Amino acid sequence: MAKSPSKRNGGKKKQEEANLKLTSMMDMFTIILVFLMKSYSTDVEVNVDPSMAEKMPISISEAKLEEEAEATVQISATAILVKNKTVVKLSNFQVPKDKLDAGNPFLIVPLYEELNKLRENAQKLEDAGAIVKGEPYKFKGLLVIKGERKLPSALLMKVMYSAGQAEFAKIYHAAIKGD
Amino acid sequence: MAFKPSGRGEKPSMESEEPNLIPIMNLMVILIPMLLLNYHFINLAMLNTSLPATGEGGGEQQEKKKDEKPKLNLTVSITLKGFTLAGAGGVLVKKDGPTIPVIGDNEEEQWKNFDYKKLNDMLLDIKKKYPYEKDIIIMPAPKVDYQTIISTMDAVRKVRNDDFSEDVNKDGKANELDKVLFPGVNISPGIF
Repeated sequence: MAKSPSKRNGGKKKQEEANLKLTSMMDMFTIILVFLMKSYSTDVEVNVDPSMAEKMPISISEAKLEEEAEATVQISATAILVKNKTVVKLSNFQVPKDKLDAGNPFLIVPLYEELNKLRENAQKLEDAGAIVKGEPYKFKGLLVIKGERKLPSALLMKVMYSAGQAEFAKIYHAAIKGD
Repeated sequence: MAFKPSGRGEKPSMESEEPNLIPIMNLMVILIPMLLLNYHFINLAMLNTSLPATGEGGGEQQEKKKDEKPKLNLTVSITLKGFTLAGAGGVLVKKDGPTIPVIGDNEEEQWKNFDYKKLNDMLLDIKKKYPYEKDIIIMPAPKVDYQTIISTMDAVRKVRNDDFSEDVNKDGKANELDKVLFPGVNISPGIF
């Protein structure tokens, strides 16, 4: 008796195409997209790393940065950073005496030098007639200070004074929005 | 001969065809990471201050402002004992202490000790008497911390309660600007 042909070898499989149902995924993506677009803003922002953010002061102010800052100074208990580069190491918000100007205890010399370098570079750009975002570049002297909430005013004054000496006259203080 | 049954009565197939969502999905997959990168998880406030001008001599400025009303030179000094208010006319001093003494004794978080509400109320009274005045000088003592300075700046810039617009604003415009106290904040190292 002839065997009936094996289904495994000879039987033709039904060529059904698996349709992926994307509708629910589309719903989810649409909600996420709408949420993200709603919170999208073109404002100038300053980056803050989360470890610093939790130590920063809290403010009820709604004010924002109007223009892009030319420099950012971060002050923690252990260091002063300019544009994320350590310029002075501190010990519990104390500046070592050798980093202060001998004749003027308000001037933090390495901070002044670093900010002055930035100002000189900006001045060179301005003199060369550089175009930034479609407009001729102009040095505005805008500085953002990100400090810890326990930062004593004595050190803040020294930083602000040093910045002032380097011709950074517009000083913004970054704080976390809250009540 | 029997006729072929008419097709009119046949029901159309109820299977709806799904639209091709793949191109939209591609778009979403690009848009969502792009927007996520721009998303700010930390909302920052930026408080503008300036250092008091030095070396200007003041001659030219004084000439320019001859017609203007006299400057109040309002100053808020912050010490660990509280706020002291001073103006061109004198200092608001209470017996043996600051104008607004501290209301707490928290050494770890000293910013919680200060009475910002009372400071705000007192500045509101001053603003009612000098509505043209916009500038204020904050003079923190060396040991005052950054949070206290920021909270003081918040208290001197805007009215915290809502009873201001009716008193000062007489042209009927009620907007956010009416609640402004002294937005021109200068920070100056105090002599203590």
